[in-house]
Amino acid sequence: MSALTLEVRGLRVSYGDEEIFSNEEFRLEGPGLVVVMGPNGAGKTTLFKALLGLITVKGKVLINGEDVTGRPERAGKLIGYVPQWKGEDYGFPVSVREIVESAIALRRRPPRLSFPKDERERIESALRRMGVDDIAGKPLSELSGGQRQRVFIARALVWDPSILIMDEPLTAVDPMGRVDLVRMIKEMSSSKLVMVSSHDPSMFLDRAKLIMVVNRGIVALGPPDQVIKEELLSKVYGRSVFIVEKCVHVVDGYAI
Amino acid sequence: MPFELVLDPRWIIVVGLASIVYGVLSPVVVARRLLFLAGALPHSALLSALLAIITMNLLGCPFEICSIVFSLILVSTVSLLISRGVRPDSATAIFVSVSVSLTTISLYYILTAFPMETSVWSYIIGDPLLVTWEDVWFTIAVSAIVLVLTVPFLREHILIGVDRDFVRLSGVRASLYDAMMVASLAIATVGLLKAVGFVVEHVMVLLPGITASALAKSGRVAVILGFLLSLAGGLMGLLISVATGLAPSGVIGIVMLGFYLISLLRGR
Repeated sequence: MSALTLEVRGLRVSYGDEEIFSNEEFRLEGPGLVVVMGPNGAGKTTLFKALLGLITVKGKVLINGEDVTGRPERAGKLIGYVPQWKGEDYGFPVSVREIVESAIALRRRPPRLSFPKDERERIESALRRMGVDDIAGKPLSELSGGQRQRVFIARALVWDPSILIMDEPLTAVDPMGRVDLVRMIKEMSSSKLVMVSSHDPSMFLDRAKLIMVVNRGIVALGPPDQVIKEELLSKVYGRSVFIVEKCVHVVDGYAI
Repeated sequence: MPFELVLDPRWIIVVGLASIVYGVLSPVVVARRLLFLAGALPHSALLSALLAIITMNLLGCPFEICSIVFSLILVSTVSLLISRGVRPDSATAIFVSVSVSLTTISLYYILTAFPMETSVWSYIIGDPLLVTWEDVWFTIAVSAIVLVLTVPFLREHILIGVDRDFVRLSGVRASLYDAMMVASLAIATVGLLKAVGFVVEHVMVLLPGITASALAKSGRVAVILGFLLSLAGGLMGLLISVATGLAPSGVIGIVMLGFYLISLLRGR
């Protein structure tokens, strides 16, 4: 068995009477970059939450052979998670350092008056790696979209997990910030299994090992050259898909 | 005749403890975006106290225990509604409407059925200057319970408000902390009602946290500031009220509001 596997068997996810995923099966092996694409409301975040054990599902989710179905405390030890930022104002000041420290602090019992040296080094290393060590004292509310995403990636990297799930990490990030983030994500995928959701996969295509198209179920999963096809994407996105010099773009994130 | 300020230690203990408890709870309320729920808590506390007075007079149930039990039931009901997907503002609005109606009925019943046995004024306007040593011991017990349930877990309580999913992925049972928070708020609001009063509880549970959040740049500083502002506001309000003869809880509320207005001038 590979040291980096994420396997889903007979996954079913429902919200009330509505079934979002029904009997899904797939197996991902790392390292490598898996780009998850699909319109808004397609179920990308739901899929990630199912993989992380954050929602109740039927079926099984196995990470490196370990059953983590519905068990976030187990999944969280094996997967680093970068949540989607929905533009919310927290209304409460939390600093960059506090966010990154939380990866360690929450796993320790009170009182946590100080961190041992090795844990302090983990925190500093994650801050430096994502280039946010110089803004560690700033509150999240004062950061740009790109800086904020790098903070949450730093938090996910504290325990150096072998699998990373990133939900729309390019949301609210300016063009230059996107280039930086995409480069970092690609670098990480050389040693980790990285699942990243994005409306437009074009920035990741040169490095993507697999593309997963989600639209109330997994519509396609395969190498980019087999999945990124106008005919397939048009079924998911409708007229939002167009071809410019043999390059596929999605200009609207809404389902047809 | 020289000005003389006479302070009873009971006043300082009760106001000090109430300020400490609200100073700890208030930043958590802000961090967890429980402002709607917190705004409704004094209503549930007053109703719980009135229902406890009725139960005590009719059934002989100890007031302190009954009031806390009623408060836990009421606050748990609202938080259950919110956790089941009812919008917080809708759940709070419904809750306030129902509790105000029941409060009016209970108040009318108490004033007509046992007018001599009880004084409900202290629960409405609050008066720390009338507390007995029995009240002081009760306040100490309530404060100890609330502080034990919250202070060691402030980081968890706050981070649940920032990123609940991540907290769960870190092995923290967020639902357990929700229950602890609801219990703390329910116990604090009813347990400190007599000292602080229904009206000023709104201020004390909300303003220290809001003011501290506007001034601080980190969660740690916001928690410390919330605590200090609440304690300073409580004790300053007590001193001013004793010196001026004005209602203590009202003055405490005005002092807290003053802190908030100053924080607005300073900005973040």
